[in-house]
Amino acid sequence: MTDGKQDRKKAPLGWIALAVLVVALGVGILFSLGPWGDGQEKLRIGAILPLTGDSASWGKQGRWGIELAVREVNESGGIDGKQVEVVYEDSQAIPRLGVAAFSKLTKVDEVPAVVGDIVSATTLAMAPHAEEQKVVLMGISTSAPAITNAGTFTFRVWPSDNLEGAAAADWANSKGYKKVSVLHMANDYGAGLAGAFKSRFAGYGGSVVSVQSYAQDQTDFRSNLTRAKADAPDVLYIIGYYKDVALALKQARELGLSMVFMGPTAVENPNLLSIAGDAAEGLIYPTVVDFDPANPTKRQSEFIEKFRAANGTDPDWASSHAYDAALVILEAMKSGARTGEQIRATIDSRREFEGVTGTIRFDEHGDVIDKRIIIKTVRNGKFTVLAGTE
Amino acid sequence: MGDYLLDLLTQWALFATAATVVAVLAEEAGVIHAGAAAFLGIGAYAAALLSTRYGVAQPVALLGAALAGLVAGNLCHVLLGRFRKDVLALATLAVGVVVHGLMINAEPVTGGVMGIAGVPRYRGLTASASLDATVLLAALIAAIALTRNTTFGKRTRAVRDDEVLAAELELRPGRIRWSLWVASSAVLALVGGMYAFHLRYVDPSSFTVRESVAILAMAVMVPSPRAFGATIGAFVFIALPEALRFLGLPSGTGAEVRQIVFGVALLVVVARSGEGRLGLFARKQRYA
Amino acid sequence: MPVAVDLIVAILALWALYALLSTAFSLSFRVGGFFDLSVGASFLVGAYATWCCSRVAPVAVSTACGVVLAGVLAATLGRWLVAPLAVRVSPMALFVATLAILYIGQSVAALAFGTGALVLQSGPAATAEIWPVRVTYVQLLFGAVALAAVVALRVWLRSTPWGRFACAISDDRSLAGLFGVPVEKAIFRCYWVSGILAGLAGAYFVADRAVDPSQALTMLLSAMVAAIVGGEAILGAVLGALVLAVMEKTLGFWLQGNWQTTVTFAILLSVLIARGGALAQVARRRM
Repeated sequence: MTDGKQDRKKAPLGWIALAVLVVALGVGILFSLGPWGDGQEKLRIGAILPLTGDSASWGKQGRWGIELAVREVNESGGIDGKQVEVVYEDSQAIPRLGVAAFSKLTKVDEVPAVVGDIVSATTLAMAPHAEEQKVVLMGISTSAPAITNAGTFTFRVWPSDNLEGAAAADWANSKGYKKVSVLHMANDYGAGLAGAFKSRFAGYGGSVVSVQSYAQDQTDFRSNLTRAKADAPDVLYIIGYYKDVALALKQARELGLSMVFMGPTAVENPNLLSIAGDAAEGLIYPTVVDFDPANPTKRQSEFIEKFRAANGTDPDWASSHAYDAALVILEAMKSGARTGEQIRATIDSRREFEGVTGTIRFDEHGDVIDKRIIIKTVRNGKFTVLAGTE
Repeated sequence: MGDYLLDLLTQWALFATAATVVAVLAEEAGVIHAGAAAFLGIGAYAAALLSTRYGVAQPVALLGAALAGLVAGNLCHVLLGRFRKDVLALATLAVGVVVHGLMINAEPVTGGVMGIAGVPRYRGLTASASLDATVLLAALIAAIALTRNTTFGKRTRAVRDDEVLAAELELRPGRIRWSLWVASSAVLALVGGMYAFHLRYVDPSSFTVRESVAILAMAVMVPSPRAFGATIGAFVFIALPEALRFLGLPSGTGAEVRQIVFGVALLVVVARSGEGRLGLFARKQRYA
Repeated sequence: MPVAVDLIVAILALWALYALLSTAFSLSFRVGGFFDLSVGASFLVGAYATWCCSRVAPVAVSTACGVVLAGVLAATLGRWLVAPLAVRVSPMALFVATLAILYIGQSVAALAFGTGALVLQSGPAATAEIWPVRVTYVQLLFGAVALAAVVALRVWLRSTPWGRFACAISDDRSLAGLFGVPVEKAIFRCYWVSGILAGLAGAYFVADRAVDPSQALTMLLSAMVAAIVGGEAILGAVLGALVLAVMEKTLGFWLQGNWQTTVTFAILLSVLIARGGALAQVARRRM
């Protein structure tokens, strides 16, 4: 039954591989723990991002944003003469892995603050641990309403979904649309925005004729779209990430749907255009960020230039917010805060920071408030501001 | 570093316990459980709800979780009791998907896709999750070792090998199947409850088919007569990827490379485990 | 009325995809005797190879390319990795091994192509409109391909020596061996066929939708359900694929919220219960 010759061949191979692995691990552990490096003491902060997995494109952008913020600080002499170092961990946008990453960052690397995550679910999962470990957790684009009350150590530079959902409803109402059909992704993002939209729109007397949700990895929306076709609303509000919205738009055109399409901020990504092509023309979406690449302020122009030079591509909402998230923490540390508690206290007392996404003003829950809303659209294959909505 | 290792130990012990349950079902009863994560989820949600919404003390919440598992296991026996082999596997998979769907859709109860956040820190029996989890694992392995050679254990294997004969010999296979279902579901749910207090966040995405498949893989990849195999399997699945974090791989591709290394490790383990080992659907007959 | 027609078109289009992948899985499962998840890896190869070729060649050529490569991968993996393991470990351990292969395949795809979604062409696909039917040319093409593949498979299984060997092995491997069936060689040929079918499914997937590494497991799950629900014969998967397609599309239309998958599987469960899983095993294992 067993082939003796194969046994002998495989046995040493397995042991060798194991030995190599163990040695590599040992070296790796030593390096990350021991006082190696150039002997200089460094200030460390952590960052948890979806560096791989489905949300990796934002994780990558987010990382570039953080890197730029840290590099700027280091190039101008660091903080108190010390260089700042970021330890990056990958959450893959999975809560369990985010918590494991957080555990490693706080208990092994002993960082006082963590920038992350892009996705709300992971941050919600990490929040109680941040509270327990007394480590500041700065969400990048974590928009779930639940984060408002997630803890005193949890902050975010992106406003709650309530704001964006309401903005979408406001716009739909201002155009006189009365019937809207919602198609949202079945996760905290989709459900949060859908809920916020629904209550605001109902308040205007509009009617949400149907709410459909789709699984996160769904690629075929034809039955959902056929349903929308049957419902014949004025607007179809598709809430998801660029990939599913792009596919839905593509399939909608193939099915002959011709109503107005709305989407969330997350669609602002060049990949939406490369997948949906012409089908994306006319898509309307609100952005609740003070960052319009077509109309940048001086500071924003500088940021875009530096980003482009360093990474070969333009920044998007993920990188600009990641930059600001890191910036807030670095600013707090510049005024002397070194532990999580000190950083929290500094942010709470100062409350206002100037970032590339405009003024970052925190309320008592650690939420960012007073953000401007811009309605944008896709025109001629580009993301542009919709006229008449400034 | 110590705390981090304890966290890791807790995760490992919890998943190892779940995997051991599944392993025992596979080895001793010939049942392929492809929906284990759903039962973990039932326990997790039960414990989280009891403690966040009703302010129940943790040990009681954990008991509640086990009870929920018991009920679910009973229901499963009623529904799936007569299936065998791959139809049974598919059926457990279906149960897993349905339960997951309920987690997402029964919003008023489960919080839907948002899940339940802010679950209190583990207090359980002792204040240390890692201790309790390890004790649970050890207790389970001991219990399995002890019952293997009792009448019950022998009857279970007899039912696995030839159910028709077992029924003729009045070994009451139905009763045996029922007790296996109920016991395994209760243990899985208990593990889920402990997991909820350890992770402090319960949401449907932690209990999908992928997790069930992973637990099944942990359970079967290293067959071992004393149910230690699942513990090793859990180590490969949980501790190894964590350990690989320290390899210092470039983060942009780190996780993918880790996944590849992990896959290769899986293959190596499976290949080496095959030497002379009897597993499920073995060629030779096993005698109790 | 147009709505009903749209749904029917959607069902048929989905059936084509599921039929291809589920027969691939069914063949491997029933002949090989274990849950072969490496079919997912062939699926990914089919999709990504087609995409690659499409950068320089027209769709038809790219598809052929992708499909052949998928077959090559399946045959290679089967011959050099799975078959040697199969004599040493149990079917369940083989399942884990093929899971590992799938993990590796996914990661390699992610490293090579990134985790973003890739499409064959951007924008809405060319659509044929003969009121009330709206169907894209891609769907028409692959629908025909799927049909042809199923028919060809049936012919192969029934009328060619290797196909009949495959059937014999799936019924009772030891007995087949006793009767002189060259088991190993037959299984090797099945790997080819299974790989080609999975590759076709992958090519269809990237042409009609968009591919990313995580889709393999999702699609494979549906394929597995279709294969097992369809019954004992290898081609039962075709029927299972139809059942699944009908359920998904009609439930996706009628049910609001995310009940679709839940109800699909609940119905599946009920069908199984109603059918009555008797003590007879679904497929005989190796003795």
